[in-house]
Amino acid sequence: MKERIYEFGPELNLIGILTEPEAADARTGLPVVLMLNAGLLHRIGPHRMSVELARRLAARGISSLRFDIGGRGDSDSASQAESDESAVLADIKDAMDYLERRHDFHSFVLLGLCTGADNAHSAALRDSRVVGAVFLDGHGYWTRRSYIEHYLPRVWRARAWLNFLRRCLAPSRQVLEEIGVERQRRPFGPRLEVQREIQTLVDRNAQLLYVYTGGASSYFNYAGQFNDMFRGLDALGNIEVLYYPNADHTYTFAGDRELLLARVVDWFGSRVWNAS
Amino acid sequence: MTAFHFGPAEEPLFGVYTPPRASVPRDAAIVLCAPIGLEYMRTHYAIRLLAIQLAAMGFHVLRFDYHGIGDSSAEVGVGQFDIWLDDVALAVRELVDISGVQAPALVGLRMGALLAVEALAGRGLRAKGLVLWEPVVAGREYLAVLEHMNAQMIAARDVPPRPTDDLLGARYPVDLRAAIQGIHLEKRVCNLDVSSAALVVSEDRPEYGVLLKEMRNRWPDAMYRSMDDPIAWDNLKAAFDARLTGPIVRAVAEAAESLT
Repeated sequence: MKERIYEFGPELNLIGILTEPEAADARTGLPVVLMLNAGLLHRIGPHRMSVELARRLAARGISSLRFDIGGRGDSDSASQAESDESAVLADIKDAMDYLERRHDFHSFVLLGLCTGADNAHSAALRDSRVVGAVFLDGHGYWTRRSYIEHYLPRVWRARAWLNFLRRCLAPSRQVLEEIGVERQRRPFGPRLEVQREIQTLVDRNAQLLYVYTGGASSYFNYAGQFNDMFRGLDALGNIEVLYYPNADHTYTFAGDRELLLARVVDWFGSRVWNAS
Repeated sequence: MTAFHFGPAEEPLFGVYTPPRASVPRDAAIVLCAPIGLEYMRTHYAIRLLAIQLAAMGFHVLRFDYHGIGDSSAEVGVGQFDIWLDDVALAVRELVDISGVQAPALVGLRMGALLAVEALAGRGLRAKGLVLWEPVVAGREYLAVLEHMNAQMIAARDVPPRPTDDLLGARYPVDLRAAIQGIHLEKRVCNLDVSSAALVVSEDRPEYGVLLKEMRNRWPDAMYRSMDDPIAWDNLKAAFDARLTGPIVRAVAEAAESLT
């Protein structure tokens, strides 16, 4: 395994680490994995998860770049002011352009956790070089069963009723949240629009892995919820969904991390990757 | 700012060198020693901000990741405490080579303060100044707090996790815990080959009072700055919060400036 540090972007303001297999282990024609920042954390990921994943992928012949978007970790913001979302998408594109131009990689798999998953979704839609993505605690919407899963265990708990009554006396927005009308933690966008976007990726033959944890239980709380959320989606076998209800949002426990990393590496190896 | 690998080619360390701003260069250099474990994640941005501020004051600055942490090579394993002390010594030598400054100052945050002191005591290092920033004073208490928060996370799960030597997502092998447990920072500062020292903390605490007393036995003019803005290192909800406030970063930079 080789790790090298690169500076790229129009102002050389972005920093990333390219992890590549030794020449003997390298597999040609595979996409490179681009690991995005999880929230405000720098490129190593929560509990160094991205570093560990990069090194495991390299052992299986797969290259990856973990990098900081502008203003996070060790990367500077570009001097030209853009909205936060456009700046993030521009940085992801810069990373792909750089890898294509200087390292002859032509297709990419994006991996992101939390807002990193949201950024991966947006970037994948805009760039046909993205042939796959891993979304960790990505998009989620409550379904009828989500309410049952959420409230049924609470029916017999006195404290839950007390909390409910207390919130009924609170401002109306909190009441809406309590009864589940506003359950999303992040602004995911309208469900049907997101479904159409996912369908666009599938129609492009992108391979998609969605992994949800118990840490996302405020918007995803049972296995099978993905299918219920996106009933009209024609996945064509391109989408795999995993649910780890015992894991927390940042995979704090080693066993949970191990489960995830092993699964991601296996998933990558099991898919058929088209050139972009 | 230059990110690079240094140290042994087979197991390199990741470092970031920030050169002094050309308009105000000084003949002075500073190595920043970061915390370990979850606190490393939580403070990365603050350490970066500090490096930028110190460089703006004219210092050569090197921040780095210890072996098994961040982007450096290897995993945390047996003998890790001694490896980390070697890493501090390696970083000091690297900055001497880069800057030409023979005795850089050290700034250590939390466990990084403890590692800086232990490396100064046990690796024959000479430093112009030493800033202890919110230091871990008693290793036993530091571990007890981590163990308590880890137990809280385990208790919140429906299914207990597989037993490991992890605390809040980072490995603390038995021998590392033993090494940390036996440390009392106030007993280690008396013989250091350091010209001057400062203690910068978020709030007054009894253990800082004890430490400051020992520091002033060694350096009568040792500087003390308390921000009266507590940081909840022992609060699980805050433990995943990635922020440290700007004022304490500025106070640390000013303390370092006053020593060199």
